[in-house]
Amino acid sequence: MKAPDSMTHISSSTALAERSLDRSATAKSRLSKRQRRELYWGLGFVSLAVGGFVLLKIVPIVASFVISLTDWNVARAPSFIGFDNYARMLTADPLFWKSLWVTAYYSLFSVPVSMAFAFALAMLLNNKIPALGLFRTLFYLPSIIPIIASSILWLWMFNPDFGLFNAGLDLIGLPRQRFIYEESQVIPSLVFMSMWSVGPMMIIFLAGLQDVPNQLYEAVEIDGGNAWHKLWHVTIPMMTPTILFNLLISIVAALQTFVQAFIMTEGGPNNGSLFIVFYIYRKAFQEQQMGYASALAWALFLLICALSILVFRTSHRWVFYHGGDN
Amino acid sequence: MSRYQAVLKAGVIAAGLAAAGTGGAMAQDCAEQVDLTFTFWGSASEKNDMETAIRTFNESHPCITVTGQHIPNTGYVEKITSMLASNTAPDVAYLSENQAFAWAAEGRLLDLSPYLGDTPEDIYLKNSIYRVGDTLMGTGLATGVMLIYYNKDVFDAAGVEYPPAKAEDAWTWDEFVENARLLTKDRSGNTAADPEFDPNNIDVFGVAMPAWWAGWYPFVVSNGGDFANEEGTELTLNSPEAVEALQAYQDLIYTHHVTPTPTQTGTLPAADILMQSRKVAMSMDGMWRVTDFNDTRMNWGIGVLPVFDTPYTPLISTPKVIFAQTEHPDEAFEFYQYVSNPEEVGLFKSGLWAPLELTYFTTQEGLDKWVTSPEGEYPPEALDAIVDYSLNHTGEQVPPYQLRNIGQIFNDAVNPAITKMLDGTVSAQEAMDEAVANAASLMQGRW
Repeated sequence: MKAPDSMTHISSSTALAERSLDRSATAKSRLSKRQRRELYWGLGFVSLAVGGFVLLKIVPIVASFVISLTDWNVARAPSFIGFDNYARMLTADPLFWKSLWVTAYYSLFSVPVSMAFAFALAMLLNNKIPALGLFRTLFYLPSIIPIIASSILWLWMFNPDFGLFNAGLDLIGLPRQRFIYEESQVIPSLVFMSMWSVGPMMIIFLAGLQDVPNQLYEAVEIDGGNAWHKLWHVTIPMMTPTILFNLLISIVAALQTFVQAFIMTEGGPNNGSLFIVFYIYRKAFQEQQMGYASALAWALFLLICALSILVFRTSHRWVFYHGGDN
Repeated sequence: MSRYQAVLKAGVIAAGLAAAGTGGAMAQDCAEQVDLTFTFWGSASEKNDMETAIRTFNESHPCITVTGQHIPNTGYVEKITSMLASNTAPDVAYLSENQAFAWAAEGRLLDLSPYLGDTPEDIYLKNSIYRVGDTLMGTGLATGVMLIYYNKDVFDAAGVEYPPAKAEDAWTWDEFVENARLLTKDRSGNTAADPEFDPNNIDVFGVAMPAWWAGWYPFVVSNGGDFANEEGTELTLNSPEAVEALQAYQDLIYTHHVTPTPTQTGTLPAADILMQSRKVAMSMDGMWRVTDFNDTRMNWGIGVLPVFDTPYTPLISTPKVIFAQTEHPDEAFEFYQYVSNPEEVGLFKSGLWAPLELTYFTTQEGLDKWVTSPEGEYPPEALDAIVDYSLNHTGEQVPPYQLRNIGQIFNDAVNPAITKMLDGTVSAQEAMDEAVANAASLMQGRW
């Protein structure tokens, strides 16, 4: 019920914006005193947001690119070294490739796994079941817990000696595992953990599901389709814009994973969870290599850009907007 | 607009009044009122003691006002790095060795030779003095050596003699292992020396060992090995001496079963609590733990580390620095000395810090200021296990205060190898060969 409401809000505000655009284009010189005052107020109000964006985002982004071309350890004045940092990254730093591999490995699994899990949860919670509110709250709850706290909690559950998971494995007679304490298991363990905080994604899917027109389901029923047909031919196609949105958000989030490495594993064991953001942090703040850390950050930025563009470029093939493409 | 102006005015007036108030009280005979900032880290109780010391300093020095800024350990490096980058570095600060030496080399830290003289070794424990080339960066904040802590009741129950407190009487490694085996018990009450001992069901561990460098490095040195070669251009942890000691360290966990695995340790409570609840009999830890053990009701004692060849314990400290851009170097130095003065700072008596100056170790008068002070909280064997041990068995300065690029050497080469070794996945030899290979391109010599 919420979605159509907000849709009308959006469309009416778009109309307003169009009207004012129209007006400013044709009648710029003929602004009345009152309009002029409104314009100043408006500019005044947005100036904070725009100023903040420029000062806190644009300036640091530009600065970090400049720093990435230098050798700078904070104590001494930066010295310009051109693209040496990038050359070092690509040719002389095995840990860069390792961190890239770790991050890619994690993202490749955590993104589909957590999206599928969130989608399944949203489907379940879109049914008319008893205590619906309670279940929706329960599944969203983990997302309210600060990630530091939940990381500590998972640290305990993963504990090989007295953790919950090994106790469970004991119970069903399976061999104990070392989870995040073993190089080959640390990433799968963290992927598993990523399912815990799908709350926000689930909410977005839920909102999307409620936007699927009922008559389409009725049409499937009339044609003799079953639940599977409804899911495959109605729900998923109608949900593709929401899926696209969640896909992008979760790709970016997965590539920027940091807290798990920082709190739970310190990048270990044997650099097995050396996520690239954690590696950047280590270079910048433990080893004081600001120039190199900035170059690493730019590599990550370009990677995220490239993936986002790729997703957008291919999206017209599989994303369906029921209001039309424009 | 006028409303904002009124608010602004009120603020200015209030600030002016406040300034006038303090100014009036302070402005006695000062040529100039000096403001200093001081950044430090530490637990809540450390913070309390340090703030008390700062208050006392400000009261006894009416012309100097020190503003203490406590920054939690986890964010300290980030914070102080940004302060330095934005030219708002404090006057006096604790600084981790990973940053301190590099910054001193760049001239960002004050050379203290004019204050400490050319031979500070005559006054201070030599390993607490930090030099970078010709620059005397200063001294540590305080000192501390690695020790063995033990629960006397557990030892009595097992009929094992206490670890010796005198370095000359120190256990050999084999004696240490043998005693640790007698102290380790499984859930059916068998000790690790019994044939029926079940290593999968251990109830009490003989000894808890720290995984950071101070946990294994002492034995490498005691066995005649070292961390790096003379020039600091090559890691030497794969030498036969080093590998023997490290293998012995790994064997504590997987061969003798007297030490918990790193994963067990990682989530266990701190050593003082473990020992109080009789889950470990001994624990290797820093002298600074005395203060925590004092808070327990257990019957505890301290002894020296076991030896391979020669008795050795590392002298560990944190560089304490004055930033070069301070406008008041003289006053900053006055506070610099105050922070490490056992007569002024309670942390020396409570067992967190040992002093830097030799007189506090060699004269009765000096000892009375901390170890043997009526408010001192040290066990009697501290005179051997801390005082004599610090003075006579701390060898050369430890690698973190000597090697360039030490942060990266640990992060990229040494720590991953040690982790693998302690996980039991590879032998000490394999782990160290890998560490040496990975460190090859990172070694940049000594400061």
